[in-house]
Amino acid sequence: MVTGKATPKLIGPDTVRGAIDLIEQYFEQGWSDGLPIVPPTEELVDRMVAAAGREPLEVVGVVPPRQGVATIEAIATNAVMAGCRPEYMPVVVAAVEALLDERFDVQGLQATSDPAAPLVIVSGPVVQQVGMNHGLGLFGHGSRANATIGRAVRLVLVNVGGGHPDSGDKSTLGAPSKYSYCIGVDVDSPWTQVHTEFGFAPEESCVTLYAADAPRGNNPAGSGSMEFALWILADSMANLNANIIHGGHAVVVLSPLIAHGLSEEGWTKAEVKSYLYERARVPLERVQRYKQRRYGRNQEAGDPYYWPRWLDVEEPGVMVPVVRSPDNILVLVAGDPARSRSAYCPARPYNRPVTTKVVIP
Amino acid sequence: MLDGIRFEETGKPAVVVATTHFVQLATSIKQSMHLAGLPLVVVPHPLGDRVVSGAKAALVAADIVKAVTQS
Repeated sequence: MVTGKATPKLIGPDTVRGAIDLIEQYFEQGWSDGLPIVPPTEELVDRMVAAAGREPLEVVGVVPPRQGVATIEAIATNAVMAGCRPEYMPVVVAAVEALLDERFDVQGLQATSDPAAPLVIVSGPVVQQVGMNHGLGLFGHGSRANATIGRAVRLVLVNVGGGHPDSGDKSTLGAPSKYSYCIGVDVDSPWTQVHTEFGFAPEESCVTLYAADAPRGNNPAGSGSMEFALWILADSMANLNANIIHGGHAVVVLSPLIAHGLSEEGWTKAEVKSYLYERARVPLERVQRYKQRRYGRNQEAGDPYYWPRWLDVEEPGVMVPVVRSPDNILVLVAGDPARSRSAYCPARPYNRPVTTKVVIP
Repeated sequence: MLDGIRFEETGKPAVVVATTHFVQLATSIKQSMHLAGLPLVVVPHPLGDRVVSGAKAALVAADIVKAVTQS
């Protein structure tokens, strides 16, 4: 087994003053996302490593662009710094495993000028076991589990991978989601758990990772029609967003009220995906105008990442689906169960979504 | 930079052309990969459309040839 080197230990005075000095020291060293970190004392890191149930120097992967080695200990150190409780560590490890899976291509995400961030989607029993938020305020503040698991992933990208703004992270505008972007889902869903779509058993807990833009909310409240919620959602997806129109993914979140209402009307998850695929489309002439203005030429046969082969570009008034297939639409159920809301997160085509199992020792 | 490194690893000579805006990132990657001596040709940022890019490429064409043929 390839093992890494032990993470350098920083041991400061065991006092409040010592802890504050360490926090400032970490700021000075650039070992932060811009917020104060929790000083990773030897005791806290050891406890976090133990919670993973794996050897501290086991190598999970290499994080670009610095090519830093992400050992279990290095991940645990950043999880402590993020403010994670030990019981979150198996989720953090699963998220980092997905991040460093070559199908995900984290190098591209670190280097992109897009405002995308790793969206950590957690499903299965672990969501409730570790107290993750899957309801009201889903994408927002207030949940220690959601905030710190997402933050741990970002700190690994920064401290192990060198993903500092400009020197290793080239996102032009950044995004609030680059601090932390983690949600629990499908606890209150009338349909199958999301990880079963990727070959995992319903009783397993998983992390599914997308390279996604920040969520855009929709408000079909008061409509009385669940189909109206999908109609509004499809409208919000139908635009020339570059991440999508090049063959990306659409991550959509339906509140339980909408999902159960649709299910009671007989809608399956597959039918929801098909509806969105059929209606989230852009006129071909607008796509070609975009191509002309951006690249100086029309879309040509054989161009990668673009519309499906079956699209008849000679057909008058043809509409281009914003994603290549209904399979590129992920439907999640989460959020305030008492309200009719949905969200749409465009995700990059260059980073394939990856699902990994959460292994609790 | 990584693309250039991958080409070199397969035995194909490679030169990375970066704009001034990406010099720091390219240098950081070279150092991380312990290949500080890999050639890097720099052009003013940004690259822009084909006309602009072509003009900037012409400025450094000789530098690129020199870098890719050096031992």
